[in-house]
Amino acid sequence: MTLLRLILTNTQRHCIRTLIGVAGIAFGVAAMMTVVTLLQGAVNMFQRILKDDSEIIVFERHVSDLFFSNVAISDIEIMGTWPMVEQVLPSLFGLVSSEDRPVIACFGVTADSPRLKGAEWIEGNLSDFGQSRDIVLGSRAAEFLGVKLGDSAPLGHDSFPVGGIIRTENGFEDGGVFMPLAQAQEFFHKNGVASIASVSLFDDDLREAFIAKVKEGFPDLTALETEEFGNSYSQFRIIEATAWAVGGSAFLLGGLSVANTMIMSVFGRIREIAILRVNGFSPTQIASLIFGESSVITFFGVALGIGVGFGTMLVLQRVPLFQGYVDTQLHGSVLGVVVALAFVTGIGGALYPALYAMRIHPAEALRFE
Amino acid sequence: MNTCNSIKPIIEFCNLWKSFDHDRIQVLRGASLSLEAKETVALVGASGCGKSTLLHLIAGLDEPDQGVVYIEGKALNKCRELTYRLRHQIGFVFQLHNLIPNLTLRENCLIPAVAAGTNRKQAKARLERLAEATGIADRLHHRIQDLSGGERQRTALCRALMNGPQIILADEPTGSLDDVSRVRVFELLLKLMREEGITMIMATHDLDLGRRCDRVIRVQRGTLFDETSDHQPSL
Ligand SMILES: Nc1ncnc2c1ncn2[C@@H]1O[C@H](COP(=O)(O)OP(=O)(O)OP(=O)(O)O)[C@@H](O)[C@H]1O
Ligand SMILES: [Mg+2]
Repeated sequence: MTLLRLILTNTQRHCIRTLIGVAGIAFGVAAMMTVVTLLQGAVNMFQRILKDDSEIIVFERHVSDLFFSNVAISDIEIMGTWPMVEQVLPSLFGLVSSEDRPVIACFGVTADSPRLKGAEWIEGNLSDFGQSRDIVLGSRAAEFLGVKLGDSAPLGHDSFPVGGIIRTENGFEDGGVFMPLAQAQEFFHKNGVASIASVSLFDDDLREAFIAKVKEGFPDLTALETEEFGNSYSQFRIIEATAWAVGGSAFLLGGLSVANTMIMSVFGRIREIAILRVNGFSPTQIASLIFGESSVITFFGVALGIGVGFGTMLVLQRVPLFQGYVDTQLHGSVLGVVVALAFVTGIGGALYPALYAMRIHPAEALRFE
Repeated sequence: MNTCNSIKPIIEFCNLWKSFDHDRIQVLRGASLSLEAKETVALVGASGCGKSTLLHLIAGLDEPDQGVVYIEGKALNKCRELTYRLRHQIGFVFQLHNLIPNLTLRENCLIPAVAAGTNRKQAKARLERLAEATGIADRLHHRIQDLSGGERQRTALCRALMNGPQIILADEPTGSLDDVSRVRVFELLLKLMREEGITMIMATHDLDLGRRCDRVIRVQRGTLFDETSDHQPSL
């Protein structure tokens, strides 16, 4: 017989009550895990689009979103002539819609884009890209638009002949549309500009020099290393903050459910707690009993929550709508934070009940039938 | 009043006052008592006269308005001292057994040992001896729900004795039992007190049983009268 045995017995005594607490924590854990992982996955995927083809990206200073960034093709051409620069590639990002897809990512690129070069060509081939109005579709996009090579794909106010279908790892790309740059400029009314320029240098050591040169030569533009871009891009930060906020709210609910469970549990055994006191339990031992019970609830909540979280992500991965868009790679650090938060809320929820239990007046409680 | 200074009383208090509800219910009005070690006392009196209140004050579960209770010459000052008193000096038995359901008899009996952090071996040895003495040895692995009232009360007694207290305070320990079990449990209680050399104060409505204790003390109008010495106040 140990304190642990007493703790376990107490949690078993009111199964339903305990289960409600466990479910609360599990809900918080699962929600936070899923939301944070999915949104982080989306951010990572977008970041990878940028990272795939360059070390540095150049975009318009002070824009809130890359979709609004305008970098003049003439400026990009100037950068291309700098001796340190191996390659500069313009990309124009846009969103188009089709009948039942309100948002499809559209990439205006040139034929030397690594996005096209690195992809697996299911139909058509790269050498034709840019020769005509033909567009290339990601395999998922071809699937949901219901088109094949040679068909005409309706996009926005126009329709385009499909000149190729590619498969890529990245959800945004695989569900996206690739247009020759000139075509995209016309379609989005952005003649003479791109959203970003992806820059590769001959030597990594030249990065700082390049960034400084852009700053000096093009005050309206910003050059950033791609990793740094990910950290400073406000959209990513907003998305991540949202993820943690949504997850945090779920946790708050979980914490409240533990608090509720523990309050019910303490109020329901005031007399019993007095008896423990009479039998030599110190107020601290009584508090550790209550905290122990909430820790047990939290432990099972975390275990269940992780299971449910993984399950949810597996299911989401299989839902056709999300296919390719869902990156369910769970980072150890996210799991660590989620588990730590679960214990903080679980223990926090037991704070008031434990204090209450410590202060139970034995003589009064013994009259309590 | 002279016995307040008698030789080595184990329990001693003088002029103890206690009221409830902002003095509207005056329960004890100058109660005094001095008990020597190993004495057994029956505390009798009408319902509501303050027997339970007095036991609570002696244990330190409640505080008197006036007066101090000394156990082995010591008064309570801190919460830690109360824990020590409840853990090592005093065992409590109630009218209702107050055992924890879902735990076995064995586990219930071991609760004071858990509180005191007694090592397993010692606790086990002590439990075996006490279970034998209280006649519950063959039921140790049963749950409380499976037991009769008498068995439950024996278990409660076993639990109260677990940490080897010098004092047992029993609040109508036989009050919820039938005639046969009542006598049996009482006899067991008295026998154990005498064998182990424990001081006992037992609140009871059963004067026949009470008379078998060393002293009978009546609570009346807030003070204590020793019925064994011709209705004199118990000092
Ligand atoms: N916390 C409290 N608040 C108000 N009144 C109380 C409180 N505790 C005890 N009393 C009152 O004090 C009086 C003495 O109560 P106590 O329980 O000590 O009596 P008792 O002698 O043990 O009675 P019984 O034989 O019925 O158990 C009663 O009138 C009771 O109502
Ligand atoms: Mg009473």
